[in-house]
This record gives sequence, C-alpha cells and structure tokens, in this order.
Amino acid sequence: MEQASWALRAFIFVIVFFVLWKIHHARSGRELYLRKIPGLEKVDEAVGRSTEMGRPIMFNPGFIGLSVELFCCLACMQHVVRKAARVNTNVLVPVVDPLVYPITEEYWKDAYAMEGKAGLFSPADSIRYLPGGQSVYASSTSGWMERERVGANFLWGAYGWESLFLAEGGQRAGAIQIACIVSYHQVPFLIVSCDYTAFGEEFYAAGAYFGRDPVLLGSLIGQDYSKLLMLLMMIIGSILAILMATEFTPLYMILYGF
Amino acid sequence: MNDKKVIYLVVAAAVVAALIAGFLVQWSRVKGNPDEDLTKRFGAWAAAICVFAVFSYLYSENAFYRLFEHALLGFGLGMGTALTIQEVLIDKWWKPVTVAVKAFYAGTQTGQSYYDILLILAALFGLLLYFQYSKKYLWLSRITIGITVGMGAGLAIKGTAVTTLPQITSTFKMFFVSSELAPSLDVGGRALYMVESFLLLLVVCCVLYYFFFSFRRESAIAKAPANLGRFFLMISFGAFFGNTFMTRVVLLIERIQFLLHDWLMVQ
Amino acid sequence: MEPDRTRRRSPLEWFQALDRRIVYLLFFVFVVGAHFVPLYWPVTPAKHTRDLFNTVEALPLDKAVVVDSDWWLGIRAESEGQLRALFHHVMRRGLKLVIISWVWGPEAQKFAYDFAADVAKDYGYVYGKDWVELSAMNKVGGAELASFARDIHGFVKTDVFGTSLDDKEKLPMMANTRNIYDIGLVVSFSYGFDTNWIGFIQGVYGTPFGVATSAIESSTAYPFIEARQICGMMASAPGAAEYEQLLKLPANKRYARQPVNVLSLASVYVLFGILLSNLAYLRSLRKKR
Repeated sequence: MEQASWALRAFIFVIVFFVLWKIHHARSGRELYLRKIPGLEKVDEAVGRSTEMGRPIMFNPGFIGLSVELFCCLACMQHVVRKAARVNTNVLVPVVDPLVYPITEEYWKDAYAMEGKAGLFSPADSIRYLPGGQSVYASSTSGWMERERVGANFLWGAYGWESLFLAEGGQRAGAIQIACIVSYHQVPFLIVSCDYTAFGEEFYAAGAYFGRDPVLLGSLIGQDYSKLLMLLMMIIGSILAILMATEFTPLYMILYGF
Repeated sequence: MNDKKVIYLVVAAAVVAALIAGFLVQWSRVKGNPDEDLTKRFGAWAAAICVFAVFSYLYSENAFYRLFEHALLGFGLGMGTALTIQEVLIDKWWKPVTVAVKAFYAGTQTGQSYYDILLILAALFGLLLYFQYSKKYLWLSRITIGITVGMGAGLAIKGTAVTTLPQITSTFKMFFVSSELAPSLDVGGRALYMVESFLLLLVVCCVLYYFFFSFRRESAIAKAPANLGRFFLMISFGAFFGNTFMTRVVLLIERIQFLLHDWLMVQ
Repeated sequence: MEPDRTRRRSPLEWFQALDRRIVYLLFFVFVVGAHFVPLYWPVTPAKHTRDLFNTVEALPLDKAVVVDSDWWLGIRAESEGQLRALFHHVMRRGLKLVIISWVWGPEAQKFAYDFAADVAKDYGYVYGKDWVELSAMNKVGGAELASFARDIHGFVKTDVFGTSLDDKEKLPMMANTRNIYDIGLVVSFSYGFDTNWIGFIQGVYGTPFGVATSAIESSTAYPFIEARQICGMMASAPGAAEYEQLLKLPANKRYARQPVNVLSLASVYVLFGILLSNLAYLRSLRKKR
C-alpha cells in the first residue's frame, strides 16, 4: 500500500501477529476460553422442536458471497445439519450466489455423511439456487418456507430489506426463529420478529463457537486482543489530545519547552 | 364442480374482464397522445397486475402469488443470464480479446493489447470452475476459488485498513475545550462539544468491550461496561429502526406513485 | 376457562386483537390518500447536506464531478430527487459531469441518463461536450475502482452508447478527463454506499467523496462523516428536499417534496399505531397481574 503511513503498517502488522499467535495456541491444543453467547445456545432446542413437530428446518445464508462470512456461516450450517441428521430431519437451504452453491452442497452432504446418514435426503430437493436479486430471494424463500411448513428457521448471514420478509414468512409457518446476522441495520427487525438474535461480531464468533476449528478460534481470540489494543489507543489518544491541546498544557510544555 | 369452485371461477372471470375493460377504456382515451403507445400502456398494466399479485401475499400465501413468484424467479434468472452474456462476456471479454488478437495478427498492437490478450487466461481460470461437476478433477476448480478468495481477502484488507482504521484517530477527542481552541463556540457550545466527545468515547469503548469473547466477565464490575454497551447498542438499533422504516415506506411510496401516475394516470 | 363473551371489549383490547391484514390495508389506503394531501412542512437543511452543497459550490471549474449511479428501482422515490438535485447544482455551476453505472444495475444506468438529459435541457448542457455517461463496470471488490482511478479510458473504454472515450469528435469532454486527478468530487447514489470508494479513492488520492443514500444506510455513514472520510450526505428523500431548498429550486422542479410529505404522514400513522399498541400491551400486563 503505497499511501499507507508507517503507523498504519505497524498497526496491521500487530493485528496479524495477534491472530497468528492465537492460531498457533489453538493448534497446539491449548484450552482457549470462549464466553457463552446467548441465542447460539438455543440452536439445539430449535432442532429438537422441529423434529418433534415432524417438520423440516430451513437454514438461510442470505446474500453471502465468497468471503470470510461464508465460511463462518457454513461452519454453523454444518453444525445445524449434523444435529438434524442425528434425528433424521431435513435441512432446506436457499442459495443466491452460483459460486456459493457447490460449496454449500459439499458442506451439506458432508454433514449428513459424518452422521452416517448420507443419501437420507436429496441435495437437489433441499438446496435451491435462487438468483435474480433480493425480491426474488425473499418471495421464493418465503413461499418455500410456508409450503414446507418449516419448524425452525435459521436466518444466518447477510441480509437487506428481505430480512423482515423472511422472518414474517417464518412466523406464518409457525417456526421457531434464530437469527445471527452480519448486517447490523437489520438487527432491530430481527430482534422483534425472531425468538433469538445474535449480531455483529457474534456472527464470526458463532463459526468458532460451533466448529471449534483452530483457525477460526485463534482468529477470534487474536481479534479480541486487537480490539483491546484499539480500546487502549482510544483512551490514551484522548488523554494525549487534551494534554497536547495548546502550548499552555503541561505535556506540550514538557516536550517542547516553556 | 362444487359451488366454491364455481364462485372462484366467476370472480376470477369478472376480475379478468374488468382488467381488460379498464385497459381498453384507458387506451381509447390516450390513443392520440404522442407520448403514449400500446407497449407502454400494456407494460404499465402488466406491472400493476404483478404489484397486486405480490401484495396478495399480505392476505395469505396463494396460487396467484405463487404464479408470479415463479415468474419473477424465471425473469431474474433470464435477466441475469442476458446481462452476464451481453455486458460481461461480450462487452468486457469477447470484444477486447478479438480486437487484441486482430491487432497482434496485423502487427498493430498497442500497450493495451498486451493487457487484453491476458483476458484469455482469465477465461481459462473461469472455465476451471466447471470442474465442480467432476469428482476426479474437482481440485482444478479449487484453483479458481482460491484465487478469488485470496484476491477478495487482499482487497478487503487494503480497503478496510484505509477505510476503518483512520476512524480510530477520529475518536481521539478533547474533553476540555478552551475558548482559544474553539473561538467560534460560546460557553454552551463548548459544553455541548465536551459532553458529545465524552459520550462518543464512552459508547465506543463500552460497545467494543461488549464484543470481547475470550475475556472472562464474572464480577459485577467486569459485567457493567458490557451491559452498558448492550444498552447503547439497543439505542442505536432504535435509530436504525426509525431509518429503516423510512426506507421501507419509500419502497411502498414508489410503487404507489407508479400505480397512480403510470398505471391510473392520475396527476 | 371459557372467555367471557358477554363482556364488551375496551377499544384498546379491540385494537390489540385487530387482524394484521386490516392494519396493512389501512396503511396502504392511508399512504395512497396522503398523496392527495399537500401538507408541505418547512425543511431545515442538516449540516451534512449543507457540507455536500458547499463542497460542490467550492469545486474548481476544470474538475469533473463523478456520479456513481448504483441504486435500484425500488428506491426511486429517494434517488430520483437526490439525482435531479445534484444534477441541477452541477449544471448550474457549469461543471463537467461523468455518470458511471454497474453491470447489475441496468435500471440505474437508464434512469440516471434520463434524469440528466431532462435536467440538461434547463441549462443547455450537451451530451459529449458537457456530460457523459460511461458504460457499465463490473464490481470486483474494489479493484475496478483502482483501475478506474489510474486510467479511465483504458479501463472503461466506451460510453453507454458504445462510443470510444478516445473519440474527440463525439466525446470532447473526455479528452481532459483521463484519471482521478481530473476529478474534483465523487458522489455515490446508492441504497448503501460502497466503502471501497473510501478505501480505494478517497483514502488513497484524497478525492472528496459524498454520498446520497437511502435512510437505512444513512446511519452507517455518520462514523465516516465524523472522520471526514465523507464530505457530505443527502440522506434519503428528506436529504434531497433539503438540497432542493438550498438550491432554491422552483416548486415544479422539486421532486423530493411529495415523497417527503407522504413519508411524514405515514410516520404519523406508524407512531400512532406504536403508541396505541404499547398502551394496549401495558394495560393487558396490568390486568394479568
């Protein structure tokens, strides 16, 4: 980055160091603490309830493209599918991105295979490709949800205005709804319409929470250290801003003379 | 055929007849207008029917809505395919490559031709994705996925570093502002600035603290900033809610303006 | 226990039990009716709107203004007013205008052209000489903006009609608009602004960047405005109305007035509904106790 200052370069180096350091700790088998995240603990309850009602589950990744968010989302999807596979419940997944479709299909099939239930459900019937934008995705997924009468609806990814449309569809179908979303401006709608909601950084934490993959876990903890550094910088920076405000302030006088 | 089906058929026939009659009446009125033509009128009516079909979902999920939902899906797919072929494959790939190949063949290549000929390599990488359907050669598709993810990650790091990290320095606020530093502000203005600066720093720190996942929060003192952070987050969500509501209503206003001005031609 | 059907329900209880479909229908009827109620409240321009206005006012005449038309038809009620207001300002000042659009937004491309052509009639602006719309670009995570900044002619190649940007006869304006250094301001009109403009253009070259977004995304722009990464903002239809106020446009040129009026009345309906439903809920809680 030719326009980056030395401070920015150093800061990025420190963040990368924290993340790599913690990934190394995670890989070496050390016990790493992750606090409980409300909302994510209810996933088992949702799967169980859906199975009791004899209805399928829907897992909505939303408008996630080929990005970091996708792999966090797929780790969670695999966790949900594995839970569902144990109780012979189908998981329906609508996908919007053509690049994401084959990856999702692989994770879905692997999850059923890991539980010894490969071939129980057909991926062609359970994973649908819905291109054409938000309107198409929202209307098709809502309709699908209502027709299948899903018992649990997981809204897990990036959404625009269609988030409330989908939550309304899930409510009409009588599903228990858990939302975990990246886009925080949809959070207020999902808080009022879903049973449980996680948001912001909790989305990335969910990937590590369920998957316990050393890379995801180490990245999350490394980011925590980076956030702590930023917090300290803000506090110290504000204090220094006051102390260096004018030539009459003590620190300025000490540094530059009277 | 039972009574209910007969009633549905009669109602459906009446609605279709009313639509056709309405279209013919409107067309007879605007026929002489140079700004209007049959395709425009027909398009407005077709769009209005689509609008009401989708709005019928608000009553309940029904066959009429489902018909248009599937039509919209097909339209979206068709439109996406047409745009990909015309705007990307033809305009951005085929035309530059053919021009570059002709230039090399004729010996009239320019600097741009060397870049455009590399697009052939880009197409080969794109074609590798189709190996997703082969169990034996699946690994070839991972090359393209790897390049795409790697490129995306690199661009994201650069974009984020320049976009988000400078905002850290914008939080270095002065809590005490003297009249020398802010001569244009009176006492009230300076007091307000100080309160705003303090509040900004407090909110940012509490919200950052809320999103710590690997530090234990067992004591009441450790939990307090997290609870405060959650409280501030809920206030911000209220603000988002208000703004989001505005956008949602604007979406409805746009459709109603279409129905009134373009369909019913109400001034 | 059987409900007591002989007891009359209070208005609040009746309201709480109201079918949501009736609420939707009433809201629809209310919003349609609001179009015929010309209650135009006075508009006070916000600081961020004035900042955008002042940035355009202070631009040197040898620099072009780039308008990024990245919206979709659903938010036309917001974007049309915003686009027309900025076009009026840019053309009134005599600045050169470059409109860019994206592959997945054909309606934004078409309507931006139509609005610009309509406003251009008022100022005698000629396509090719004073304003140009470039052919659609494809989003590639920001790399497209880096290429655009370095060499517009080499990257975009043609205008929206397929004319080469190097054609000095049809597009004389583009002879002096070759890279980011010939651009004085970028304004993005979108549902939610693309932060890559800040990451790859404003942060790297220092080119001022303004946004005209939907209401939902205006909240996310404030940290960038605070950090002076965004020089100004038109927030939704009210932002467009404020900008029209600053320009002192005649009433028949103010496209944002009616959407803002309807929006205000719709907000009254929703506020009334929220208040009533909360009162009904609190009353039902008290009764349960």
